[in-house]
Amino acid sequence: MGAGHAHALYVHEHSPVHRLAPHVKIVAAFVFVFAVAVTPREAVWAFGIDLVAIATVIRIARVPYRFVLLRMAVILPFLVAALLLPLVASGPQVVVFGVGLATEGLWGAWNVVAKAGIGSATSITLAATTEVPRLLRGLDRLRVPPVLTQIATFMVRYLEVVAGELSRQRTAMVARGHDPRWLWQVRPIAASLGTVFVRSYERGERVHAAMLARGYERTMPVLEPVVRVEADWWRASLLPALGVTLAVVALVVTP
Amino acid sequence: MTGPRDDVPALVVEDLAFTYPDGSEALRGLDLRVARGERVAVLGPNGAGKTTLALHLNGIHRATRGRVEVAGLELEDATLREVRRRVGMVFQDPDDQLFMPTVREDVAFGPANLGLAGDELLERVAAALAAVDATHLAGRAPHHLSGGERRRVAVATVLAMRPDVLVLDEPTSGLDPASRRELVQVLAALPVTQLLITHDLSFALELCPRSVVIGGGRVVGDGPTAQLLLDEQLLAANRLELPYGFDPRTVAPASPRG
Amino acid sequence: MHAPDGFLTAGTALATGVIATGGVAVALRRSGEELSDKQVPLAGLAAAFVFAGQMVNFPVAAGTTGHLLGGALAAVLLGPSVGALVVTVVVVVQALVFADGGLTALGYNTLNMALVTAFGGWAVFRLGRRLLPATRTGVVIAAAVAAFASVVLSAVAFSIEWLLGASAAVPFDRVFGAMVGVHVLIGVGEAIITGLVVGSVLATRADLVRGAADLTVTAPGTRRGIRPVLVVGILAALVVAAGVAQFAVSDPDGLERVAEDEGFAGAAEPHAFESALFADYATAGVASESVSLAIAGISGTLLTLVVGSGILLAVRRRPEQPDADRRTTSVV
Repeated sequence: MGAGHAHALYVHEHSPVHRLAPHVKIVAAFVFVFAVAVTPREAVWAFGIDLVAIATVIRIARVPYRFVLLRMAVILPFLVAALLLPLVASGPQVVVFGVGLATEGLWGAWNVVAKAGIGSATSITLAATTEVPRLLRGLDRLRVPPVLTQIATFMVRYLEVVAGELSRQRTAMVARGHDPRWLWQVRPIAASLGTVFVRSYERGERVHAAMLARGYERTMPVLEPVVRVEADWWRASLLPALGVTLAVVALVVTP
Repeated sequence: MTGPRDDVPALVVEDLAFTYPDGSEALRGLDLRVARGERVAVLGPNGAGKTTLALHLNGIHRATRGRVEVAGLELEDATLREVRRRVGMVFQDPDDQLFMPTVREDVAFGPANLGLAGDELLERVAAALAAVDATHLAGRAPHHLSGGERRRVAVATVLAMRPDVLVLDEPTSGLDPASRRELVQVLAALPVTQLLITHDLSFALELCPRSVVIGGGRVVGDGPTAQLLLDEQLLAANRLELPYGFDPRTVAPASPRG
Repeated sequence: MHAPDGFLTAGTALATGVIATGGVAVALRRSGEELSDKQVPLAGLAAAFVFAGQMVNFPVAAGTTGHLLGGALAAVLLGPSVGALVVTVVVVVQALVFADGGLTALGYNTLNMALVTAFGGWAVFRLGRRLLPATRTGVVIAAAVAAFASVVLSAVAFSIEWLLGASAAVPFDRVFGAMVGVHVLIGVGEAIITGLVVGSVLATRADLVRGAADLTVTAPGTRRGIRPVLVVGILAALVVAAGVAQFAVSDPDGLERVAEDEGFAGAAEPHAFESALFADYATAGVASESVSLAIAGISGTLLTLVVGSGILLAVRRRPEQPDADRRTTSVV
């Protein structure tokens, strides 16, 4: 489900949300989404306020709602699955548990819809307001092992190059009448994947040679001075603070 | 330029031999001397060993036999770092060379590895980008540049290291005529020793007073470019061909300093 | 497979996050030397390849399509540790940069899609290599079987996480049946594609297939018995099976019972604790309960055995890695 998407979600704008330091934004998004996840599903009002809050952030960030909604389509298969829950949860069990189980299924579906919806809107906002290199630098500042962020940096840089090679090969195959419909006709696609793997590997070796040629010695130079971001922390904490407060209140008032 | 005395050759290659781990012999005793400030074309067909030679000049490949000297400095383990600064390699595919997220970061990669930081680093980057007329591209992502822009930025990434010798591997491949002309203008204006590896003979004639022809891992021809291009036997033996209707006798080469 | 937020409980998200972090740490440690230098750009390109490969649709039947998941493929091509890291990076970047998969779901998504597939796939691959002749065909078949197994293991892992932290009342055996059933089909596609890709790389640059290093390099005596690994794996699996039994066999409210026995049932928030770890309704449905638990126990044991073996195989010190002998330069 959900094949990867090669187009970064970044929406070029100048907004207070865009200007926040990336690591601050990442932490804020995680805490907020986690708070939403622990909020009991019965506290419908809390999810309502969460939704208004993230919608407000999206508005401040000047990211079009349409853009966010369209991109939320990646969770559709899961929402469909969630909406099946009341049906799946009934059946023979209904006899044992009576009406109670059907309600369970409905609550379960609502739970996934609410949390997945708010969660993905938050992820989209994070990605839409933070350029990819800044996101990765944010991970660096959060002490993610540099090997991982470096792999990610190279991956993002060469994703379009590799995807371009694959799609050109695909075009070349289609141009020569390739129109597979069954799994046993898959060999040319696999061969093209194999070729692109070898090319990617060899490109990796050439990139490494190019890095050596410019004095690379096992560490990537840090080019951006570390800036002080206390103000950013305060500003960015508004959303997660609200989410955590709602979650705590909801946990207390929900029986 | 700062650096060694004028009478020390920019580049000395002696009896260079190299065999790939799979057994194929790419270089078989190659000799080459390039004086400071010279612009030399290295001509030869695909597979002649041109790129292999280039990768020896800054120690990415280490020779099976022979030696390399850059501006008086012998290439060996202890001098590797300095040699890599002195020899600026511009690779054939700019996508291999431009690996950082933005042009500015990519141009800064080399000098930052040399230990530069702060304003000094920024000045280096700005100067290198200005030298290739790419100041306006600083904030862009490499994969959003045109072919010609990519090539010029790739040149800037090595210029930022203030090299003594610039080595360009097939710099005109894949460029449209206008981008090619812009690249010629940029290279002609750079006051640095240049080794242009190419099979684009008109490009060689336009920029380089001198050419060497490589075949079978050795130098098989060395002399004034116009003269070499008239040696039909030499060209034919090395699968080199002049563009249709191109007559070296009727073309005035650009002056060495642009 | 990129599950969104809210699919499993927050407690499960945290717990799988901890486990996944541990798995990544193991992979980082094991691949430390390899990745320190040139392998970093190589791993980045490999990650770009896996990412792009996941976007290639291949036909399944009558015009319907599927796509590669790539965990086992990455492990066979790059070795289990680097493979696991590469797919982890893909999953994390997909969540952060492309909003594909929830942020709180990162723990179980990484675990299921990167670690279980790479390490589990590697264990099956090594077993296959052991049983099959040391030829290219043997490698291709082992890779295909490993790819199939990796997808099914991934589905099993998700089902077990559902048992531990379901967000809704669907009995385990139903989730298990649906997940594993669908993924058996997906696994067939994954197997064919993976086998063919490995075969095509073997045909052009056999030296780049880590899982076939013994075919291109003569490294006598590097193959040590798989038996100690199996023994340790079975022991670990038994511990897990015992744990599942401890919690689940007595009655559907196993954890509640434990909580009562331990005397903290009356503590402030037993409900939050319980739903965080063991959603009692996941084993609801009295009729199918025993079947459910049997499946859970067996599949959990198997999963732990295979993935555990993969990790052990990955971290085990091998004498004289063939890396130095591999042809490392290709720039001609």
